[in-house]
Amino acid sequence: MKILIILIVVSLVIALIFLALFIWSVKSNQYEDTDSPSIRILYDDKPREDSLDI
Amino acid sequence: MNQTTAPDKTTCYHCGEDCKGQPLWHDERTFCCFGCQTVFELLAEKDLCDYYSFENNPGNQLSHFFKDKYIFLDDEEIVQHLLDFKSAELAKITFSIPSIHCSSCIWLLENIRKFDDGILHTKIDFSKKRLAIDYNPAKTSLRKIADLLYQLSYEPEISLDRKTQAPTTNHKTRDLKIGIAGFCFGNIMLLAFPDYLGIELDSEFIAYFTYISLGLSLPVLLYCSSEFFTSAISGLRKRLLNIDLPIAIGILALFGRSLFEIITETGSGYLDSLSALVFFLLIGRWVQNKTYEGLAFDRNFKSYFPLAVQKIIGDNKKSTLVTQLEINDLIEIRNEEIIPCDAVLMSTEALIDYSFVSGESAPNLVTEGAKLYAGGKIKGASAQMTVIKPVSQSYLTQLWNHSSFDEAKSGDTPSLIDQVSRYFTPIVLCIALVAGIYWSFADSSKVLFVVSSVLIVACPCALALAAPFTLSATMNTLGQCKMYLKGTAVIEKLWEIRKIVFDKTGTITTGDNQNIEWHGRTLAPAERAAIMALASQSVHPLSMQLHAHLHRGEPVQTVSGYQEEKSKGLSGIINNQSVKMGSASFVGTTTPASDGAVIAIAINEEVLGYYLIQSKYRTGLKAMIDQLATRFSFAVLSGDNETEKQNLTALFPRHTPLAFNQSPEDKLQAIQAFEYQEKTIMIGDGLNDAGALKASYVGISVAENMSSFTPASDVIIMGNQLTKLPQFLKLVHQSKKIILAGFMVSFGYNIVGLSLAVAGYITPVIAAILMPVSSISVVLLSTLGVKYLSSRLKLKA
Repeated sequence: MKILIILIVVSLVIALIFLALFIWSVKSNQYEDTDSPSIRILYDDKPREDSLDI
Repeated sequence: MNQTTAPDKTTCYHCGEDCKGQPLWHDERTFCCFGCQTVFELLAEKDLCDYYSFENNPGNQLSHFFKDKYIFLDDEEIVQHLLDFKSAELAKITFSIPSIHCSSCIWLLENIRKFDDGILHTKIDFSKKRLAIDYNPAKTSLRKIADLLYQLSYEPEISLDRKTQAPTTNHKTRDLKIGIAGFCFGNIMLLAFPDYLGIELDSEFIAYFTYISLGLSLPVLLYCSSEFFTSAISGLRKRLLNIDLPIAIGILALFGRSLFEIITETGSGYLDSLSALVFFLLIGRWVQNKTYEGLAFDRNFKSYFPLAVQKIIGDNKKSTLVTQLEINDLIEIRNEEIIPCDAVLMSTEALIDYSFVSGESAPNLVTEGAKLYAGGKIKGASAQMTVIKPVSQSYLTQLWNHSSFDEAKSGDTPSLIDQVSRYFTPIVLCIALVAGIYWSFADSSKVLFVVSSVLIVACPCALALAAPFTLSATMNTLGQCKMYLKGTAVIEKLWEIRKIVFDKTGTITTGDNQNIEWHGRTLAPAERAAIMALASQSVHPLSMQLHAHLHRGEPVQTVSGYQEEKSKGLSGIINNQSVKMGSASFVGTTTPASDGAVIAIAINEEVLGYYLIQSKYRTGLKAMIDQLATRFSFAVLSGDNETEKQNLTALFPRHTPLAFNQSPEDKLQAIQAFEYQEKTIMIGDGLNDAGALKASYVGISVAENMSSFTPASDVIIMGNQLTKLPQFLKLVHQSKKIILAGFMVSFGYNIVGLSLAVAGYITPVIAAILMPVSSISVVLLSTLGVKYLSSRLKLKA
């Protein structure tokens, strides 16, 4: 049962890492505009005209 | 691709508007006007036609393009005033572009650097409809960028307001609070599992678990729930018992009780319930605070004025900020520009459209020396004028600074939830007290336990969630139907409305306002062109309307021997045909009496017939008014003249007050008089309604499209949805019933919970089950109830 202590500590640490990531993502404005990124990912880049067809 | 909906109806490839029978063909595609075609050509040239592949007809129709709109951006001082950042190599600016509306817009505006080497990077903020541009001032200028956007029909809205806009950071902290509360809630729940399942663990584990939970609950208490405490305290200071007070008491009771149990090692406490409660409540607040960021509800008149005008100094013109204009400055206002301040006309004559200020639909012809008022729009040739009052003291500004705007709207009733909580808190405290007194006699060791249980269970979590979820679901449903509310508080105000006041022009009549019908024999194309050419010569409002009605962008034929007889008619020779148009007597005929203006036409002395010009009412208006009449009384305030009186009388129930020739000031006072008797909605669309919209209990402004100007109001509704108003108001009224049902459910839970608490049966497990279940059931009831209602009213949701 002592292993539980270690397990709980580990799981809390992992959870805290995720919390830290969440806080960072809020602070870096990732929640400011939640509409555009979902649309942007759909755009294709045109193949560049000077690229070689291999 | 190009969709042809009906054989006689072609839509524009660029903007999707109906081409009205005479499409322009270009590159095997149809366009409704040269503006749209030009944009297409620009995009094709830069190989950006992918624009059309994301959405069908994604473009915006360019209403009227005029070359020097952004001339003031050549002025270094003004540019400095607008930029967010500037160095020699890099400048940053954020434009507000109301016409951003779809994925094609994002794609085009983020690829706009293909048009101009100087643009380094553009990033769109879709929900706020803003475009952040980084450019190299050495290679391009702000004027060029603004003109480019304008040409592509993404007109940047540059106004004096921009400087006063503060970026909102408050929802960042809100997001953080929700995240942290959720995190703590989840982890405390995990640690409480052995407790729920009744697993017997060694006592050292229990202590160890509970102390971790205690640590996790501290951020919830100290950071996430802070707003409930501040709100409760400020309520107490104002001698108000708001809903946050019992919540705050409940949170304190939960925490205090848990702390006590953990320190005395008598139990594991209620920390899971505490964090769950705060988490749900924060979500409720978040749902309630949804706003339509892309829409401007609080726009003041300044955002409608130009930022700068051409000031004439000797022989030179210089762009000057409107705010810096002084008395006796000579300024020049060009076609389609707004007069920023009261002035006296110096040019020989000018045509001014006051429709936005006074609601009068016909442009005015004024001559030299006439006094011009701020807010008028110059039509046609540019005009020079001398400033007689600075912007801050002009007629419109004075209306804006009317005393009625300073005081809060009178008779604002407290929200439903606050009315309930006024009784709720004392009752709960009484129950706790009585239970405490009872147990002090029955079993004094249980007093604290029971009293705290009562406070914990009575914490009005479900009660506090019923209103936000119902109101925001209602608000979202209305938003999908293109009726946008400033906030959920507007719904509560709408419950009390007894009277609806309409503006006429642009509200119950459509935006273009005129319906022009030809009565007479069929016209040959040549005759039609001749009439159009003659009409184009005059600045009389009727001929201008006729010209606009007939003109399709084709070149206009020359007119010789042109004569205009004031208030009678015009004559001229076009293509060897002598054409006469004007009043029936001028042309030499008689027309049947009708309501509306008549333009009779004769070609080579032969009377062909007449055009009848009438206001065009929205379709379905009569049905809408009949439906609303069962619940509301009406009034009509129009800035226009009385020509439509008969039509309006037929439309509205008997004894509806109809007022014409109303100045903005008159409208404001009329609304105040109505407000004095009963709660009133004002529905209007122009600057001239702005005062009335603000003075009314709920102001609804009608917009023809997403990017058109709307004066400050509580609600913005799209013109084509206005006739659905009865259904919208029905939904709003029904939402009150759903909230009351939610209150009932929550009271039901509270009664069960309180009886258990008074009897002393509330254990952490019961609390942990009862509280989330009650919250979630209320939330489900709210959202599903609104969904059911909107489907029953046939509103899409």
